[in-house]
Amino acid sequence: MIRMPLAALRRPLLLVPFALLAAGSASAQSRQPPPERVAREVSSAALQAHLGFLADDALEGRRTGTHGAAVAARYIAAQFQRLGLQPAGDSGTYFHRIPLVVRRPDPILRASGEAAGALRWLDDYVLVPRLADSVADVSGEVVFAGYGIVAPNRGWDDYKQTDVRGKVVLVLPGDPDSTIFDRRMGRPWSSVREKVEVAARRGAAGLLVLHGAGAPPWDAVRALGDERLGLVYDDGLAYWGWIRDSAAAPLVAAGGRSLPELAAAAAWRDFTPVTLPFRLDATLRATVSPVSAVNVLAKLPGRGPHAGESVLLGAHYDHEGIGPPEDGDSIYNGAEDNASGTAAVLGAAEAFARSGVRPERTVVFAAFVAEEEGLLGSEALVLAPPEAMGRVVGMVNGDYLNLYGRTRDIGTVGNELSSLGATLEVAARAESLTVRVDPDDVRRARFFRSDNYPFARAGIPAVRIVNGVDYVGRPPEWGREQRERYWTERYHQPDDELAEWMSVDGLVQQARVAARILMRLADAPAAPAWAASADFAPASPREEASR
Amino acid sequence: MRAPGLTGMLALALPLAAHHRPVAAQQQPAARVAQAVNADVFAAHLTLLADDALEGRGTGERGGETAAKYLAAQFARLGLEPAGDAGTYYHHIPLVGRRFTSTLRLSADTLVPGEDFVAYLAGTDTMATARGEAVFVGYGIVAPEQRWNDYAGADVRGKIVVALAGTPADQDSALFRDARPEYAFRQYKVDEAARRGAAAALVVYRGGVMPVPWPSIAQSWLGEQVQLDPPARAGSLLIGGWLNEPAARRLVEQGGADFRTLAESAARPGFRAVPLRAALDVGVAARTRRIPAANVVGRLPGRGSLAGEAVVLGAHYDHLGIGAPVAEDSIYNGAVDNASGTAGMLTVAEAMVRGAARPARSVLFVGFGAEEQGLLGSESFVNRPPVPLRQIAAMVNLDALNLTSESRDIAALGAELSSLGSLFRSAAAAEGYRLTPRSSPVLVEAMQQDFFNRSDQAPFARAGVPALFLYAAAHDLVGRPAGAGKAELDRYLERHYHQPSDDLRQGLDPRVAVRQLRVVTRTLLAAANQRSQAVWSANAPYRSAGERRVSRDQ
Repeated sequence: MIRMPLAALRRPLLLVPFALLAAGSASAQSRQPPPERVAREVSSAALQAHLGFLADDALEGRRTGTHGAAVAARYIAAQFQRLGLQPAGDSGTYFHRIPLVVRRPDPILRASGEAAGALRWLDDYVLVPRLADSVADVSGEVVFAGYGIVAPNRGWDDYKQTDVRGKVVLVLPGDPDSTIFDRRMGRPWSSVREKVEVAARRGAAGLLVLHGAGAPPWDAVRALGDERLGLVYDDGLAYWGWIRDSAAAPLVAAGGRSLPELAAAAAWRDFTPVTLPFRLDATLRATVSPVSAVNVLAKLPGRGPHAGESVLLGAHYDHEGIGPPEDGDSIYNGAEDNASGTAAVLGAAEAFARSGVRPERTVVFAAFVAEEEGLLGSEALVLAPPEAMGRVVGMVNGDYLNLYGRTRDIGTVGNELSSLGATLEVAARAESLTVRVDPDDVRRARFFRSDNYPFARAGIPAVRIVNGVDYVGRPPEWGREQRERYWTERYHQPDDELAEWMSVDGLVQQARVAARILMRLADAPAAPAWAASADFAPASPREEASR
Repeated sequence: MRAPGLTGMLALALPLAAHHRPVAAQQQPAARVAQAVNADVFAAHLTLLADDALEGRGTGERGGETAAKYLAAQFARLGLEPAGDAGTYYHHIPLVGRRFTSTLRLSADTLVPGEDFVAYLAGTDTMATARGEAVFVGYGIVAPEQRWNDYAGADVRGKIVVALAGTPADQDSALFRDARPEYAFRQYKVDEAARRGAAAALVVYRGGVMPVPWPSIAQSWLGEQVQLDPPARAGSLLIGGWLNEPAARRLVEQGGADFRTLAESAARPGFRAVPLRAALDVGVAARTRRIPAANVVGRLPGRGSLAGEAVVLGAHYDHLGIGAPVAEDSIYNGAVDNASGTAGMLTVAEAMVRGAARPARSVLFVGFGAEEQGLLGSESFVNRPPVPLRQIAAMVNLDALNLTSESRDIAALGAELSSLGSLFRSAAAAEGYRLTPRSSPVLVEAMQQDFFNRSDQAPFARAGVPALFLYAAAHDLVGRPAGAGKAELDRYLERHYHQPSDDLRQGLDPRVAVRQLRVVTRTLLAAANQRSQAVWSANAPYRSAGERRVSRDQ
């Protein structure tokens, strides 16, 4: 149904002033530094138009695997094509198909050994298959690997030299020492996500986390057994999951050990993995059906010796789709989360295309799918990057950007982790913005809750742009109030939609900063680098050797 | 309100054009704007609009709504002013869908709907009946310029009239030469009966005259009728319909006359209406639903004293939506019909913005809805124009572009009807085209199939606005044997027209659109910039409508 259009489309269009360009000649323009040339081409009308379309009810909340997401993906591709940007997806297209499936697991898990017996699905254990198959037999010796953490820059390695290839790794939840693994700061080493990553890298066949102290409530864990979207992996790790202490204890006890004893040993740096006296034999039955989902990728090719390297600006375009109605509205438009970021990527892409700049490195514009399902689109991209994208050496992410108006500051998370922080600083200054790291964003671990995180895990320096708090023409506390209202009233609600009072003026500022960062990265002599202290810095030679 | 934003955008575009093409700044403005027509832009819009995700852009369906939103977003991106309703890009089309159930009795004889007849309500009523003696009114035509009046001396007020489909030319080719084609149409005959105060009008279907077989006509009338609400030409007449020839024969014979003799008499000058001495009893009921639909309108403002006037570039964005599957494909993508024209319209809009066009008259870019239901979007636009009709100086319509091969010639239907023809001729020459010869098979086909009356320029022309319809077929294709243009046209009409296979897999080359769109751009700019409005030719059937248009106080 054709609704009355957005307030945004109805208002007179506000364009960034182009006074300098209007006055200058082409040659004067090309004498300007490239970041300046690109930033000036960011068009407020374009951002407003993209935002209005992507957040429209017609896009039905852009949920991964639905019609709305398909329309959004094709819209984004059409914009890239219109601009003459080259495809950077699969086989000459703008689309990077991700190996996404929906699985409903119905597995069988048996222990063999002295305390042999079947374990009860959803009562004793829950597991999440990672394969494409609807049936697979996976059995292996069980190795207890402490907390399953390998964190070189924290001087911690639970695996040591132990070969766990083809084995099932049993680990404790959380971490041994919250002073070493501060959960409010830095990489979330104690998360299951990271434990899965380590187990996969070590060649394990399965990973089970003991459900004891420090674990989430069993009901939450049990929900992992529901039908859910997931990627298909080919790294050898067939499944991960949880096993209840009460189910694991007798198996461990049969070998003359106890869980508390193992846990006590795992609290120390010199812990070494313990092979347990039983095997776990899993029959991974599941109904598995493919889900159509694509990242959308375009590039402005670099020239010269660094052209094989690329710098990427990304934002997820998916959201929550159609869901339970609130006040009669069942469309979760995701205007802020993340039509805003997607519009900024499109706006920056247009600015690069129009400016006529010729960057040294390739510049990639990316719209990610399946972020709301657990950062799956960006994860799939770093796991199997299309050749056309080049080797990504730096990444800037925009997720939940500013629709509240002009600011004097710009927010970020992750700027301390790499040289991208300094580049952001320079870009922000050129837009007369100060860079702010807000404690609230750190507390919410926002670096680890968006698509920059899979890039960082893959070793690619990444930074996330977030909203500032200091709004022009507003009282000092207004910005923080707006965020708080977003988190409490609109986040993942149908009310995350465009409203009359909103404005793209702040989004223009953020898109200009992003464009400047990208241009600087593209032309810099050296690729971005992690800070020496960063949790994502490349593994030391010693750790490499231990694999 | 508009000036700062738009001039900013225009100022931006100029140095950019200069950056890429050093000579651009020295070019004539029209050449510069034409050069800004970009193949990537066209291909991108075409690809999106024809994608399965747009679900064939059906009117009242999700795909149609998405397409409308897309056009609005593109207009907004380009900085065009909203020129629809209440400061938006959307111009509401008051569309309703009506389903009719009807009965028709001929004395004691009950006729079968769908087999013997179909009937509908011409107005907004939900139910109507008419009964009484039927009057045969020949072809039901009143055409002073043909010195023809089938109603001469007849009083049909409150009566049921029966008229033959077609025109007297069907029986005597000396009659009705160069007549307005609509005299042959059911709609015209029903409207004429309404003007005469008839209660019902039934048009006799005759197999030899009508190109469409009776079952198709009957089937379409038994289904939902999508129409404007209220109908544009409502009168006192309540009921319209078709009467199949065998049923008409029975009716005539029941009154003691001979159908063939009666039909022959209708083609003789001086024909007079004949009472049929047989009573008809017709009843129709309707169920109505509202169908959401909109035209999408963006304005590039003119400069100076003519800025209040406008030239229109239109293209319908709707197609048939999702329908009966053919070869397991149920999405009627309408890549040529009319993703191509819509993409073309957007591409010309972008060229005018990027090429810093500064037309004297404003340019209205219009995506029409509900074309496939019978030009209802354009008709509704003309009924309630965002700019008074007298200020609309010209209209150019894009409905299907040639995307097969580059051609040496190009044509616009309606070029011979108004002074727009010479603007088009110059524009074509500037892009290296010859005009397609009138005697070429592709143009003969256009005349035979009456293409000019079958797309959105027609309501404009009937309302007196000089209009051109860029023709999708060319005669002489580069690198192809002579006559290939007609073969391509035939192939499209036979295999793809209104089929799910009118999609991007039929082998379309978007680059072929570029020169055609440059011609369109130049034509529009010329129409926007010339001192006085385009005028109809002396012999154009729309000339009097044109005179009424400019003299009207609006």
